[in-house]
Amino acid sequence: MKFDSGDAGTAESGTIVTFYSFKGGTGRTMSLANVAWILASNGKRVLVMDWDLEAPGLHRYFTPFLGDPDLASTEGLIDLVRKFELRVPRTTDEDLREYARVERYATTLTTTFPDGGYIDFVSSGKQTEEYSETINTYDWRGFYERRDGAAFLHALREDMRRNYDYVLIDSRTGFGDTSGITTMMLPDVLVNCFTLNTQSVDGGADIARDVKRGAPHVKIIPVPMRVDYAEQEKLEASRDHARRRFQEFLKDTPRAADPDSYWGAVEIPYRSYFAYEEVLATVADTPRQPASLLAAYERLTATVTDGAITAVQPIDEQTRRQLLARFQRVRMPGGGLVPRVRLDFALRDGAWAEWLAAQMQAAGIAVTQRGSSPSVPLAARPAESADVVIALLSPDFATTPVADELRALASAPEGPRIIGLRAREHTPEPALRGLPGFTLADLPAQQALNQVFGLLDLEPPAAVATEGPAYPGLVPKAFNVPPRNNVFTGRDGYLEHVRSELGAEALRQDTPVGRVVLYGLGGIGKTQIAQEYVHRYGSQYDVVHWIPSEQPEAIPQLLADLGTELELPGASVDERVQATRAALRTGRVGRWLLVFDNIESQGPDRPEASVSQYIPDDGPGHVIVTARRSPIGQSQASMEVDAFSRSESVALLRRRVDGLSTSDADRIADRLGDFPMAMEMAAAWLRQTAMPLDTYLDLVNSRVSAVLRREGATGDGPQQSLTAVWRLSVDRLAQDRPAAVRLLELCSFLSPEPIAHSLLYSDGMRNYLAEATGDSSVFDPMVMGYLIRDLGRYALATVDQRNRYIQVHRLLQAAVREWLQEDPAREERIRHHAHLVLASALPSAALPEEDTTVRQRFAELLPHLEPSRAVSSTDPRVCEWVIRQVRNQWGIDDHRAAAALGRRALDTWGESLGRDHHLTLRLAAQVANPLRSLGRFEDAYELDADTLRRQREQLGDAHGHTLVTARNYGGDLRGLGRYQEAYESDKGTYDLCRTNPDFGEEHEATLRAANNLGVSLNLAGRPAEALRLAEDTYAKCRSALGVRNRLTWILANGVALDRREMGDYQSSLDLLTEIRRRFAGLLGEGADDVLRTDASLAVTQRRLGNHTAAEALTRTTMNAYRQRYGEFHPETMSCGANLACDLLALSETQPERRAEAAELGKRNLEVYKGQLGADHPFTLAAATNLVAILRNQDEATEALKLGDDTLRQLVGRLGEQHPAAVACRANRAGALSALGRHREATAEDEKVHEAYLALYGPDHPRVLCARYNAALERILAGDEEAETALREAGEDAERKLGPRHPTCRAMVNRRRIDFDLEMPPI
Amino acid sequence: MSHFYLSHVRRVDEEWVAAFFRDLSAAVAACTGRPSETLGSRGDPYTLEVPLDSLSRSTVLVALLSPRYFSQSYCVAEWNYFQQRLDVHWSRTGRRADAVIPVVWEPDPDHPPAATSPFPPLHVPSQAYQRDGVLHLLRLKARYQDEYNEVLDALARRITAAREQLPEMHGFRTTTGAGVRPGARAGRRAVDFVMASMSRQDLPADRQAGQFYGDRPLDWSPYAPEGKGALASLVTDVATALDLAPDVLALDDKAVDRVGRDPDRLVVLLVDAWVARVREKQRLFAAVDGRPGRSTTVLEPRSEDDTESAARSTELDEAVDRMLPLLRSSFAEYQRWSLPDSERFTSALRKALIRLQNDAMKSVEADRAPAPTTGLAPFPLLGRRSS
Repeated sequence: MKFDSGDAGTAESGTIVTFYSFKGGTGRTMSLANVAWILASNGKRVLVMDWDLEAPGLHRYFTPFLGDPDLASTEGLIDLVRKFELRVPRTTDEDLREYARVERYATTLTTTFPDGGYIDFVSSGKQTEEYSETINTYDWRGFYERRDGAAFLHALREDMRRNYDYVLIDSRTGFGDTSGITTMMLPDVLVNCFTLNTQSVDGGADIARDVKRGAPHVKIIPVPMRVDYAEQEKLEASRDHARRRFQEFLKDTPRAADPDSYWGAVEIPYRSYFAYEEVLATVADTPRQPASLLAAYERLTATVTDGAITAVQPIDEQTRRQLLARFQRVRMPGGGLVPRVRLDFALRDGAWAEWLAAQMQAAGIAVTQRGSSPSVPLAARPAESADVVIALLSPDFATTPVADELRALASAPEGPRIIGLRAREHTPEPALRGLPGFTLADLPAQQALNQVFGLLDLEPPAAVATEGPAYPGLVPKAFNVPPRNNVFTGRDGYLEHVRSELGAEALRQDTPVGRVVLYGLGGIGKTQIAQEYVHRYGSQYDVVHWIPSEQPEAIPQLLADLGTELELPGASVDERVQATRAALRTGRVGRWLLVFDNIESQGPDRPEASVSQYIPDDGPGHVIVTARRSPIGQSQASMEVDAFSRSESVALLRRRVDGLSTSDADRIADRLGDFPMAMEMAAAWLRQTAMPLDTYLDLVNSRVSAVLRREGATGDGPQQSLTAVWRLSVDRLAQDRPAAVRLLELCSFLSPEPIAHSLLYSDGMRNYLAEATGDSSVFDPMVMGYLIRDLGRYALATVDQRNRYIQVHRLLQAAVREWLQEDPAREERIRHHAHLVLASALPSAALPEEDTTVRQRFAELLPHLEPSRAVSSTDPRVCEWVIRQVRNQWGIDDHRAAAALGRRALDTWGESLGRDHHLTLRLAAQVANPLRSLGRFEDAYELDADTLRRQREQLGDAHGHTLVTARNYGGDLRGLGRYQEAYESDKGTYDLCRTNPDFGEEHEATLRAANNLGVSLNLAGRPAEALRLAEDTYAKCRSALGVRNRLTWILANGVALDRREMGDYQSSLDLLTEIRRRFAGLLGEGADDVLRTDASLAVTQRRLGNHTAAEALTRTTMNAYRQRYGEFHPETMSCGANLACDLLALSETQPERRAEAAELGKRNLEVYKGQLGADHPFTLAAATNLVAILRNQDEATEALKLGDDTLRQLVGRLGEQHPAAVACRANRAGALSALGRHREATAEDEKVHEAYLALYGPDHPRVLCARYNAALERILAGDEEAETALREAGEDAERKLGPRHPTCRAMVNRRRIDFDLEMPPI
Repeated sequence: MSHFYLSHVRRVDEEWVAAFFRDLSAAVAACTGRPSETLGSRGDPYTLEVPLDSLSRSTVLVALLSPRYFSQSYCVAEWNYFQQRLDVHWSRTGRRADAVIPVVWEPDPDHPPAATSPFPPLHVPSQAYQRDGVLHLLRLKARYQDEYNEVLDALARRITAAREQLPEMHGFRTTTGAGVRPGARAGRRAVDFVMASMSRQDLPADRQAGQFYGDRPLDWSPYAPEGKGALASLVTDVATALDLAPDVLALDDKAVDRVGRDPDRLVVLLVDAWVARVREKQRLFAAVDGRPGRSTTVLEPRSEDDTESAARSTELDEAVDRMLPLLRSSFAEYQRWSLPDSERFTSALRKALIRLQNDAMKSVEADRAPAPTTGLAPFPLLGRRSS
């Protein structure tokens, strides 16, 4: 058998050349790669293919040009063959060609050749772990002889020749499985490679003879390789031997006539340079050097191509070098020319320095870091020599010792190159302004890195190294901290210490939370150090949260705020605190840092104890606590913060006071004991007054003596100095601007937390100041600005212009209050005025409650409520504030906080104002709201009933406040399931509103009362009346209040629900879609109203038969409610009920959902029982749904038992004709039917039909379904006459719902229809 | 702000997918002017996990369809996640969003994208794309640069142009049990995984580590405690990635009957050594043990985290020796028995399946048309004339 070459020789076909060697190590693969390159450089389309399956190596010569150099993601030859083998079913000719498309397994080298040349590479196969298994157990012979392999390989050969000019195959050595295919079957030309030793020559010649016999058409080109000219004598003998053995094959070669010239031309010399590296001679060798390896490959190419191609097309030298570099880069990452870099920086910019150093080191650059600060003197030893100095320029950098060196370096004629990167946006001093560089802040990491490497003349790394510190340019996803103090000075020792203490615990889920306590005297600067830490290293965390902890009762709220920001679940603050704690522990929110600032000692001297209950023991987090006293116990690192070092004091004073000499600064520091807060005060004083230093120091001395006299203390501690300098500053300010001091006094009764500008600039504040000073100029906002500015200038308050607030240090507040106590009456008066100022800052009642500025104002006021002791005031204006603050807490769904605050105020007022006082009663009405929202209907009912009774007595039935309480009272009754009473109460309230001359038909109070009445009507089982009232109310509201009012759409939601109840599903859906759009536009996607609309939308979608969409939406809404308010919130439970109904509906077509429906249905019933009691109508509705679910589960006996109980209770509670009772009767009839008791079922179904007809009229889907059910049961009971009735009912339903509605499909299949119940909002 | 999620078969052509992801991010960045590293995300290529966080933050799902796409559990989960999000969005607003873009990564002649998906596939005029898909253009990018860019541009435009953007959905969670199910492809060779395991209820008294078991024998999860069905899902994904059509059965009479009927049916026995201790199962084990070697293989997971198994290892080994004498002697290599972790199990499974495939090919005497040119060609073999 010969192996035919097919259509070899036609002009259009390519040539297949196999490179074979009997022994390995000849340089065969390298020759192939170079020949391929030479061909492609001449515009040829070249395919190279690695058939050396056991030892593939061809790709190494092309590594820089392969998209997948490891070949782990790219299929190759063995995959091509196996894929053909694995195909089922087996195919015709046509498909054979499709499977044999070699291009599908090729990768084109990513380099450009002239004239459209290219090299496609096909590997031996995907280099995965199982590669060897794949080739070792593959049966080539069976493939070829028995499984179409021969035909397939022919098709492959044809495909290759059709699509390429040259195909170069790298063959296995020796007698491998595939070497017959590659040497005889596939090629037109066989390059037979051998080295000049006897074994190799003889083996090669034997193979050549084999091939000649088996495939005579294959041209054989013998090529001696690795010819080493070092040993001339031996070489000649070997050459002779080779020539003799291969003589007979030379006739195939173009130079057959001249063997000497042939052998001279094809010989490939040995070059040691190439022996160790897989690099192409076409790239590494300079062209046109006859003795080069490249020249030898060119001669070989000429031989292989019959002289068609004789030389590589030269490329310009620069391109050649670039290509060579691509090989070399692969070999030596980093290269040998990387510069030595020194980083000079201020310790304040340490995070940037650490990151840059880590990134450069990851790229193999040697980096020396020199951090410096006023508190850390520069090491005396000379800096190590560097090629490039990178300076991180910032305002702080300018104050460091290292900056002096850099300035000198910059002006020196020679020396290293300097790059100036600006860590923050600022203008550097003139001496350093001209340095090359850019601003790091705000750049993405990769871009920053690219630019740095660009400045270093280096190729940037492909990706940012992930090891080491995080990129400091990233702001954590939650970053709630006070602003950075721009002139913070020194303290680097403490900061470093904090860092290393915290760093001892890695930020991982399984490590303990690293904690540090900073303790020390008030005013010593603990908070400042903690603030600097969060700004300096905050970028290393995902969440940074600052918790002012002076009021321990406020801590939960502040932690809950974090939970809200991180979208953690929980209705109440408590739940959100728990969720936050859990999220911190598990690392769900990433790495975190919490700061508890100014923890007051709780209990037995353990400031940290009050923190421990809020933070987990383990987790990827750090905690910093600041406290006055040291913690007891060794469980955590604690460090006492002491006064400034002298160099820090001097640096701070000189930085703040222009032109202050070092010696003067030293004297001040000495007098004030280096006490940080006193340093600030003194610096402020000196900046503000032109007083000579000596005079100031004398004044301080005399004040200190006075303080000591008054306190009867001895000695002269820093606290006394501080009090003295405060007194000095306040007295001085009192002379210049008395109003500023009055402002300070008033602020001393507010919270030490931020005091918003809105409060400072409020009318109340300005009225008070004008009155207290007799100076009406304070009405001028500009003057008010001066007062605030002056407090800042004397360092009596921290002024934050950006966030528009001021903050008075708690120590100063205490000191001021102490001074005021000298005149107790005045102290009381000022406290009262503080209350009035706060109360007068209440947002106008004319604004809608949900307005964001209203919410904002209440959030600003809340922190001052406790510190000012506002609850103790009986002033009606202050009481009004407290009432509205409670209502606001409820309005923002902080139900528990609202209830707690309200209860506390209620108790106090009950004592001070009396229980019957009209303000106490109004407050009581507001306290009942959050109780109802928490599902505590009984508590709310009792409170409202009591309030309502008192208000009726005090104010009369028709009074506005009485009516508000009455509305709420109706809600309580609905919550308790007492629908009839609720209806009666709501009816009364509604009538009183309508007839109230202050309200009238279109007043908001009347509209709300109408809405409530509508809800009660519906719950009481009078849906038609409910719908009429709802439509009417909605229309009135829409015209009276407009479409941008929230109430309009709340009322519309009622309409949509009633339309659904009355069977008008499509118009319910249309309206709900519109309501959702409006709510989302008015209040945002996350608003509760949107969520409530979604819940309703899902029910309407279910009724319309869109069960999949309904399920998806119900689930989403339920999860949102669960996350927001927890498992047992009424709305979460309601969604759970709906989901069970969705699943029941879906299981009609997807029986595998039945089990889930049953599980959920049972769970719902339990939850409702637990939350609302066994006889609440919602519990009974859940039971009604479960009857249908159980029947559907083939648990008919159970279903009937539950149906019996439930129906009895429903009838007792709501009456026979109530829709819930009717639905229950229908579902129970289903159970009867399933038990074969069709006659009884028929009787029940007829009752159901009658009841529904009375409720909804003849056209309602439920009526049609009931008619259908009754007819079906009659048929099942043997009454064939009912067929007509059944058909008619089916047709009517189809007309009403459309033929594709699942209910109609169920009817076609003669299945019973169940009725589910929703739990509407109450 | 649109943010795309790239959904793709993992581990198969990772380098190319990674390159495509980079290129697509850059193309979207060029459209939007936003930094490219923030524009897209995809799953960890070395796990089968579905990254719900990334999915929920994404507004567009770019699905790289290949013949294997719908057979991978995580691909289907990603696809369904978006399908359900779209359902919710439609349910809420009545509007459809262009949020799923099927892209032909590798063509699947049996299932053209227009036929398999309710979403309009990416449309690009390029013939090469339509015929061979993106992967082909990418691998031959030096030749198909223009066509490749055309695909990227069209895709980036569609990602950024989506007028109706899928909002981030608070509370949205994907529902198992709804949507597309992972499906075996027609025309693939079938393989039966026969799982010799137990349900948690049936565990013998001395087997305490219930966390590795579930309500059904198929819930067995030797490497992921409480990971109900994780092993079944893993073997299914691996087998489909190797172009097999897997089925997972519990070792019972039905399974034995099924695998006994056809000696050429590929069978992988997955053994829990604890079950081999149950004497009543001997008949079932023997039925599998006695099947022909060319179509039967075995793997025995035994997690190194399972201290109970470690303590009883001698006893368990003896039980396996006793129950599966033939398989035990034909696969003596350590790669089949006592596989200590999921990684080594997966590696062993891939090798075992490759070998099973190769062996199965040998046994197929094809009923097919004779080769067109060569007839019964003898295998060309070097060296048989030289000796």
